[in-house]
Amino acid sequence: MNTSCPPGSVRSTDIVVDLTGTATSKLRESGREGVRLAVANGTTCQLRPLAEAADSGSQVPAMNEQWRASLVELLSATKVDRVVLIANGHDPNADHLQGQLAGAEIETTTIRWPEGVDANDFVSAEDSEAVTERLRQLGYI
Amino acid sequence: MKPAPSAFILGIDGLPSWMWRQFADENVMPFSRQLLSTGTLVPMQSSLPEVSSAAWASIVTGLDPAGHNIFGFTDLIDGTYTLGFTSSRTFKANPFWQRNDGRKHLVMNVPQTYPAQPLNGTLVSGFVALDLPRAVYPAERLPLFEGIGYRVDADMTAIEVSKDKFVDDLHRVLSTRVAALDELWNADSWDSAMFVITGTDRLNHYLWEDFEDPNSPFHQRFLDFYREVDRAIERIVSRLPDETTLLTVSDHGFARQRYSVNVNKILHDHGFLNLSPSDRPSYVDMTPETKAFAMDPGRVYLHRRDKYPNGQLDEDRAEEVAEDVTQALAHFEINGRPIVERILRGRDVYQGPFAYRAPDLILMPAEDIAFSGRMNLTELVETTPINGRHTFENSTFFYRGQADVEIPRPMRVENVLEVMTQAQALPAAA
Repeated sequence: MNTSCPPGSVRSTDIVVDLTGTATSKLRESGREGVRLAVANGTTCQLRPLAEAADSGSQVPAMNEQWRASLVELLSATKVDRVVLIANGHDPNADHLQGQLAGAEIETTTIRWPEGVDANDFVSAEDSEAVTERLRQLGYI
Repeated sequence: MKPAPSAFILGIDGLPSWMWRQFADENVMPFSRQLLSTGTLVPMQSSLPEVSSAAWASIVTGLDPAGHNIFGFTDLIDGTYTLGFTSSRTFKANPFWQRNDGRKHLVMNVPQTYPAQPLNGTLVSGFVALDLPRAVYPAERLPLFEGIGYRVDADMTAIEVSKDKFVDDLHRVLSTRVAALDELWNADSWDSAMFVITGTDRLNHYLWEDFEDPNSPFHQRFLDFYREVDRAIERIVSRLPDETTLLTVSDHGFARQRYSVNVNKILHDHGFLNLSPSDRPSYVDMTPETKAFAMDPGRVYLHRRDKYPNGQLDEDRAEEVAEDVTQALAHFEINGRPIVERILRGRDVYQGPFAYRAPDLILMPAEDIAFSGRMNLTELVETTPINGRHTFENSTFFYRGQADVEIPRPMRVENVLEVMTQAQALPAAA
């Protein structure tokens, strides 16, 4: 089941999967306890208390096949009521994970932050010059 | 042989519907003549503006630019004057292959999908992809593409050497693209496949004058490339059983281009755009006195106080300025002919969460005219080797399938997924 809810309804038995890298501290400010997903070496999933994870400043890295597989393994070995997925308004990684969780019949609540359009939504600075040249060749700019 | 996908979308970038019909009838594309008799071909309207990035995004999401957030190849980063180049990360709506419907998708060369994003299936990005490793998902597929010398686009610098070398390269790229499709088709089973040919757009941009002039030494080379495209279509369609729903689409039409007109030069000369002196003028050089500016291809933005750091234009004056700009552009002429066919208001065109990022005005060019939005204001009419331009009207939509479907009239790029859903070739969006 996939639903949307405000962050205040996060429960202590949830696994909070924060794909934004910023949402955990906001949850903590709301006074909620819980656990947070952390990823060691970019490959292995671990569960940490939400406060500890927030204090450590650790961030969930961009999803890859290794830790996606590790997450599914972790969930199957852990008593988890629900996964709370926190993502920016449109994040294909979140869509993909949401689909995987739904397929595994794991209750999932997705919280999406409203978003603007910032520099991260565009071609990276190091690629801009090459893109400029390609677009110029085709007369687009 | 693996089972065929239940839906196949064949994209042919920049193919006008009338040209496909004409080439089929004139035996330039003999297989297409046979194919077109088995389905329905209608002209389709492109996105606004009629630029590939926005149009393909609409085709694969079913939304207009205010829904998917792609208004062109460039845009300003919110709240800044920094020019950003749109990419797969700029998408704010799911393409149909990311709906998590359990289906397995093969997606090849769709523009605006670079860098490749995760999906259930395989994707190789289209224009503007810079390097193959970041264009391929999953990474395990990379050796397959490398092994056949796959390239995401033609070498556009070849046009500076000669038209012959340029067209030779288009043939090479098409050949490897079709070979990659064959390999992937043989390697796995797919619920849907989307495959886009982009050489047609490149050819039309640079050799349109040769297409229109039967006496041009490159006229036959133009036709021969379309003959090769026809063979590629035959190779694909011959593998599809009757049960497979086939859509053939293009993102925009094409027409002759004689003048590339810099809209910012006009806005400047009419007092709407003011720039501080700069060696390399850019949006950041706009002074607070600026009331309006343009971005490629014909997007005009009011310099609003609530959107831009130096904007001084308040909402209560926006309508008046929009009208003044409209009048100035509508009456502007080159060689005694207007440059604008019509001017649309963004508020009337766009619907979606990103409508706040939409242009205030969209310029529809008159015959022979293409628009640019350069901040280098030295030339009104710019010199370019490009002699073919996109059109809003007359892109291509072809449907062949067993289900009866109602094709919207006018058919628009945003309606492609709707027809697929009607044909039960794609589950309805959640």
